[in-house]
Amino acid sequence: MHVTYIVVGVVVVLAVIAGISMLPDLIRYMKMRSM
Amino acid sequence: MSAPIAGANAEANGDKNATPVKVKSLSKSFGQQKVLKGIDLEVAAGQTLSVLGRSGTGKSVLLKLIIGLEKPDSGSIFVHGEEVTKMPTKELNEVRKKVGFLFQQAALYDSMTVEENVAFPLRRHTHLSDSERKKRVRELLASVGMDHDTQKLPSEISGGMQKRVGLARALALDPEILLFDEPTAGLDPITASEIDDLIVKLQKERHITSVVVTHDIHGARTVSDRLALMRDGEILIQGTFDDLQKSRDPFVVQFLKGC
Amino acid sequence: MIAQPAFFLFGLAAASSATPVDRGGIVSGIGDLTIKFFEWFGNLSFFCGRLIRAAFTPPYEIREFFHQFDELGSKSLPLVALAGAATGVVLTLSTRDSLIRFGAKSFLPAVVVFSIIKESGPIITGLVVSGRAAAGIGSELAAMKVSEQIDAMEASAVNPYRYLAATRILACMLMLPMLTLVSDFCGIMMGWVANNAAEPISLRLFIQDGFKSVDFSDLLPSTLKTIIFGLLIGLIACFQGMNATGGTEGVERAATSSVVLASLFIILADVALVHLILVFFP
Repeated sequence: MHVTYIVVGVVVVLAVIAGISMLPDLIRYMKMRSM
Repeated sequence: MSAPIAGANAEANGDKNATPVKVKSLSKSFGQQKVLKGIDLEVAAGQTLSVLGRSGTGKSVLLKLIIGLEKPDSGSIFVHGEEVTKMPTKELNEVRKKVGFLFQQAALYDSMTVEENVAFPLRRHTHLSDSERKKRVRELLASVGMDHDTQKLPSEISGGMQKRVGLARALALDPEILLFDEPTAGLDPITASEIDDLIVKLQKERHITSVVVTHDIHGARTVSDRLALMRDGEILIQGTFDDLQKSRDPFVVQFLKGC
Repeated sequence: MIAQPAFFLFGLAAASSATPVDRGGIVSGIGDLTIKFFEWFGNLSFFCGRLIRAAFTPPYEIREFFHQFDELGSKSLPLVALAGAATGVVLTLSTRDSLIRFGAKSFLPAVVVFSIIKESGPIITGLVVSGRAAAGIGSELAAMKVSEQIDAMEASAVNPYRYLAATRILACMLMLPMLTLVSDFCGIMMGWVANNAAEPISLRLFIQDGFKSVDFSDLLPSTLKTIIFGLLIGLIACFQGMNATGGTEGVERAATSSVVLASLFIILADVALVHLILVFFP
């Protein structure tokens, strides 16, 4: 039970941090593609 | 007694002839502590079983396992022949509508009045009109002796009165099974015996199957047909009060002392 | 790129204030804390899963939702209005001083309106409501958890995630933009009052100058980002409340940790959201 939480927690935190830091670049990339 | 409410028990799944409550090899632990070790119990229809034991052992957990508020580590629980332990929530909710639960501190919703508390299950699970619902609430409260002070909040009434209201709420959907978690805990002896008498009266009138978890041997003797004494997560002895009295086990003798 | 570890440490600091840690030396303490930090997030994720499943299945608790909406909104309104007004005054007076030094006094209305709509309004409203609503929801649900009322609700075949949590979270989410608009209004009006007190300026001129360089694409994203704030407040308060343990002390811990964590997440989210808004609306 506890270990499940910890594993999911690590995954979620890393996903959120990665997502937020990559989002501006992702948007810029999509803008360039549509140009 | 009042007729069953249409819509509340519409889907009567499960075998009506099966044992109302059956527990098989039930085990549950919290962290390192094993509170239930392979419990076997059965309650016959219309009968009352008291589960006794020292305070703080797994007795309340047993009740919560029966309605699926907790999941066991191993073993199974059958309510009217249906296995509750692995049921998906939707069917579990149907079972819960047929089982009334009186919590230890009555667990009344503290933002609602007495009347609103008892009306809550009716409002949620039946299609009664406002006036029909009000009438039913009044009947329920009258049957537990609480037809006064219906507009008060739970914090404004005494512990004994809260338990009565809790009992009325548990009876709202005409359950076939009632679970009591320490019904007389924290009450003075007079109020405690009033509550015990109330329990006996309601069971006689409605032919309800009950499981009462308590550490009060006097109350258990009054309300039950059979008793089960637990120690260290196991059932030490099961039977009628006379059966228990015949036992020579020192723990049983000590528990029954003064009775 | 510096931000990420900063966030992490910030989060760690928050976790320490929210969860009890046994005194076992600094190094084991930090390790313990990190584990608790991730465990908290994992637990929260499962909570979100249950919540989403409950929120999108019938029966929808519309009645209870409106009740919560009313509670949260009407109880927070005076506080938000006051905070907005006070911020307006302070902002105007201090900005006026700076602008005078640059010889740009005539820009005051524009700067005040712009700052309030884009930043002060949202963040002040977010933090004020965080204090009030998070503590309120956190303690209410914690008290219910501790007295077994949530168990009682589940035993009555009512899903507490739907009836208690989803309604409150949705109410927070929808309430916050409206409260932000109130705060903006009070801030701008009091900004004019302060400006007028220092140096008479007609309301008409103030509004005209103020809104000259502000357009809809400044107002909308900033006000809508408060929906995220509302989500964070509701989510954290409900989570801390429904997982409370241990009597009155547990209720107190749930209430304070709700406020601390909600405020923290609002500030962090604001940083991320401002970045995002700049990317979308350059």
